[in-house]
Amino acid sequence: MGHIKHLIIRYVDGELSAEQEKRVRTHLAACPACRRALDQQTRVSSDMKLTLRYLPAPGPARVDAWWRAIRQPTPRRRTVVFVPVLMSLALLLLSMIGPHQQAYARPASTTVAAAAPALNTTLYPPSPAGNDASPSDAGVMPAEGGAESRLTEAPTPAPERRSPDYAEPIVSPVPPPVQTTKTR
Amino acid sequence: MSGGADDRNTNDLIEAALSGEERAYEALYHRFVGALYRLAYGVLLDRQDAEEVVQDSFAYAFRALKRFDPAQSAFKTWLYTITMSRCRNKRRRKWLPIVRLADVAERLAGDAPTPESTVMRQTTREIVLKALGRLSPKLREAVVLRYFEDLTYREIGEVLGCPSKTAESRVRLAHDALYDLLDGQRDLLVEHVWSTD
Repeated sequence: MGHIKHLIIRYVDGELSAEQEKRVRTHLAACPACRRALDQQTRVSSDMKLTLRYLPAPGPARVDAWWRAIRQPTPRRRTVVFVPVLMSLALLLLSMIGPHQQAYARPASTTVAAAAPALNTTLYPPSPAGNDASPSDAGVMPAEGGAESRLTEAPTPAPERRSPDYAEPIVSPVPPPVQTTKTR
Repeated sequence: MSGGADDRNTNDLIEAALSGEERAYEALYHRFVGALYRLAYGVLLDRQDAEEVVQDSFAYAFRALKRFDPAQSAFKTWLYTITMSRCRNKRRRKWLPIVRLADVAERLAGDAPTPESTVMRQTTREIVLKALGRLSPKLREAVVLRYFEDLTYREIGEVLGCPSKTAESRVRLAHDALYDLLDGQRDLLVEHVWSTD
């Protein structure tokens, strides 16, 4: 018979059948290694039982307090009541804010859109060849004009496709690159 | 509060609870609260966490009571499964601290003052809990279920959601690890007992 270490815990805890128990006893009498294992397992079992079965029980006051907490209405129920109310409030607020936002948004964008051609004309006068494409249409953006071009683009519809007779502006609106020196 | 002194068997209590009898819920609670607390404490080694797990487990079990099927498992096993699942959630939310001997002693002292005559048991308990805290969660769950109430390997497997052979193997591995952890502490235990005399 080989070692019976796999049976020792059950043996210690008295869970083997009478026949298995007899076999284990016979083996233990002849095997010092398994006797050592038995000694180890007995000590661990006894320590574990002693510890876990005598863990301090909660006092009656705490047990009563937990009971009251358990039988209280759960927060989930309250959530069920409040969620629709909160959602209705949110919708109401949105419906009140929405028109105002549009009212503010339209004049602002209109103003910028109206001002944009004048601004562009000032900055980028029409070329002698009569090309009235704005620099943004030409695909060439001024290095520092990003903010204005974004503003002008926002309210306008999608840019038209370039016509075949499209010409590049003669005078490039791109300012010469500024030389910068890296400082450490 | 009545304290739940009810002689009816657990399944009768469940039926009564399902028919709306509040006292039956209370009796079920009192019948199992101590075991659930010890189980949760054994696994989490933290009193506050164990208390929260116990309350949460009962709250869930009572809400889901109509889904309990006595043909599938014992009520006790069902409750332990719920408790173990909540212990795992609790553990996921925060890393378990390394359990220091002094912390364990302090917590135990907070629960019940120990008479001098039981200093040996108290010290053993501190050392064992410290060793338990060093086991991996899976081994700890298995060994706590095994020893806090003599659950069979089949029941342990049921609670942990694994075959009984796996449960047995985890208990055996936990035994080996605990022996190694405790063996080094036995000298300390003897020293501690001598020094308290």
